[in-house]
Amino acid sequence: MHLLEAELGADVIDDPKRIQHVLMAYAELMSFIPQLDFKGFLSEQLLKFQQEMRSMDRPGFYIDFIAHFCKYTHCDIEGEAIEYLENVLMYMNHPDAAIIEKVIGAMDAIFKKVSKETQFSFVPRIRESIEQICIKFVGKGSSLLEEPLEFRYQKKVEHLALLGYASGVKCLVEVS
Amino acid sequence: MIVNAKELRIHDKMLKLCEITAKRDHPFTIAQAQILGAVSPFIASRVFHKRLYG
Repeated sequence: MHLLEAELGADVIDDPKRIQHVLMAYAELMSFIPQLDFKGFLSEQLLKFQQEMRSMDRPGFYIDFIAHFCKYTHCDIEGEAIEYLENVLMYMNHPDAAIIEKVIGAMDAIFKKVSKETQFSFVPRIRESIEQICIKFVGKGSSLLEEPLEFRYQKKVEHLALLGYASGVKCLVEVS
Repeated sequence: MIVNAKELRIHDKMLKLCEITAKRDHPFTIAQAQILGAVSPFIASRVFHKRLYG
């Protein structure tokens, strides 16, 4: 496990094709970790991996990992799924189309792994994530106009990249 | 000892092919990564409890 992690966290990626196989080996290994080890060891390991990939600006690795892990793990991830979803959603407006496709795949894997009740609890978090990426708060309305607008927002992006894909829209619609 | 032991399970021998050592100076090949993925179901339960597979 540590050897695979070391390769994924190497300063230079020599061969993208090879490292993808290493990533899948790591994801496969983590997917078969038993429930007994999930609450302590595995959760910490996943958090560490997420932080490392984020700091190294390798979101594709983490998103691919989560897609595979959520699809194949035998552990109960109902409690942690929302955290995985948030970590994935932060890249839903990434300029790289490949990353967006990975995000959609990971979202789909997460949604399919959890119960309908847990999916419902995702809705406000998804809305918050979208708001965080798409709009910014610019202040109250004018006092001259008797502050008719309690809050004013401004668009940060023209459109959300995730919604540029039919599969992205379908994925969001299914859960909400 | 691992090389000569005939009674070892197939996944122990496959792990041997992956050359997992504490001080590894070259990266995994694609084949080794695929082997590791294939034996994962057998070794995953020992990852956090047995140093050999760590």
